[in-house]
Amino acid sequence: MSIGRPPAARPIALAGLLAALWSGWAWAHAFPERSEPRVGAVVRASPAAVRIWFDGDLEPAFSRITVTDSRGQRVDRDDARVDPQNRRLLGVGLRPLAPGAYTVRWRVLAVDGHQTEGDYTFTLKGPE
Amino acid sequence: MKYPRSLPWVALLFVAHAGPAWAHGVIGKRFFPATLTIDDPFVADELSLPSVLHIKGSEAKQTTLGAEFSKRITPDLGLSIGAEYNFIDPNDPDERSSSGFGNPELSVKYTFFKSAAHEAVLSLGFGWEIGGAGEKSGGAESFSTLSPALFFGKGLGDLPDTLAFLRPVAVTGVFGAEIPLTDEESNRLTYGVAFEYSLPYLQQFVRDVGLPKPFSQLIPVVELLFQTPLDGGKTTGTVNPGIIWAGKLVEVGVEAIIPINSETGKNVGVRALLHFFLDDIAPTVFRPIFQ
Ligand SMILES: [Cu+2]
Repeated sequence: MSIGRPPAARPIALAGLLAALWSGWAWAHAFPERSEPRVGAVVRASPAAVRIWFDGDLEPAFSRITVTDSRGQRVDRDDARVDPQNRRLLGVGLRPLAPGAYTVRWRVLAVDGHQTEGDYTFTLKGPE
Repeated sequence: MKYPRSLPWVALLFVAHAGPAWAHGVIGKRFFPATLTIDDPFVADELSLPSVLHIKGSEAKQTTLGAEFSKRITPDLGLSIGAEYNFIDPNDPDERSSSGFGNPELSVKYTFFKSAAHEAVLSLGFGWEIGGAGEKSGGAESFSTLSPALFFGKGLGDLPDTLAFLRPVAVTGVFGAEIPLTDEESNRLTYGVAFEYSLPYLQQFVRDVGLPKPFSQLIPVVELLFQTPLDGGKTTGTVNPGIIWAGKLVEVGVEAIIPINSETGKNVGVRALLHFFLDDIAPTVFRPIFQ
């Protein structure tokens, strides 16, 4: 029951819902689609950066990423940022890494206000 | 017209009744999809439309179309209203088939414990099937049934590295009672668990095994749901293996319904669900009324 609502409101609301369904892939909780280095990967060379592509646009001011070694020491360059050209891409530079296991932790705010967080590891293998 | 109580489809209807509220949720890095058979522990703004169930019992075939809308009052307190329409087709050709609305169900759920680090959640729920509000032709009872329940959810993301490939596993469950407000039926315990293996979780947090969409969005599930009458009657139940595809705004799920004994039924049924994440579709509209 909608008192005083213009008759057009309902079709407009429905159209808005449908539009959200079709275009809305940029909305909602943001989860990663892929990463470099890849989740759980073993890499041979020290990567210059960690980059994560999300499935939705991020709020740059509230999106964070850090990388730590197995002792918990930060090895990133503390320059995490959302790519201005691609608001789904979050990255951070890395200092030269020694062989070992590294943990990437991220916490992002999607543009709709939903926060998500996660972590993964990758391993740098030394020369054989 | 009043159906005799002894008809097996009366027992079968519990299969459809038992999952009146489907919720999805995110806790820590874990996304829990809406499960099809048992209610899960989250409150959310969401819409299940439709849910479909079809099963052949020893006396009748039952097809149920259901819908449910859930709304958060606060971030941890939610209300749901569910309705269903039943088609009942007796196997005996001399009996007439019938159809009609089942009783609607109102429910409230409150999440009282959450741990992001342990991907754990606990909630209390209370359901009220409104007796006499549906149609006899749809199998609706004239009496109400109350259903208090405890819900839990736990993701295994905190397993050690040696068991990393089990981290995508999550378990949700329910332990509750159904209290019919009548002398004709005994009280029953209702309990079940759902096991999920989240391929999105595997790809995003454990190991990128290179699955392309839509396979990277699939969550295989097995749900078990049992009901034990407290008057000494036999336990009935179903095992429900299936698969859920979870997009960002909608999910689709399908499961087989396998009766555990002849008291439950003899034939395998099927259920399916189309579920909309309203809080993600329109976050400014579908949010808790009180923050
Ligand atoms: Cu949901």
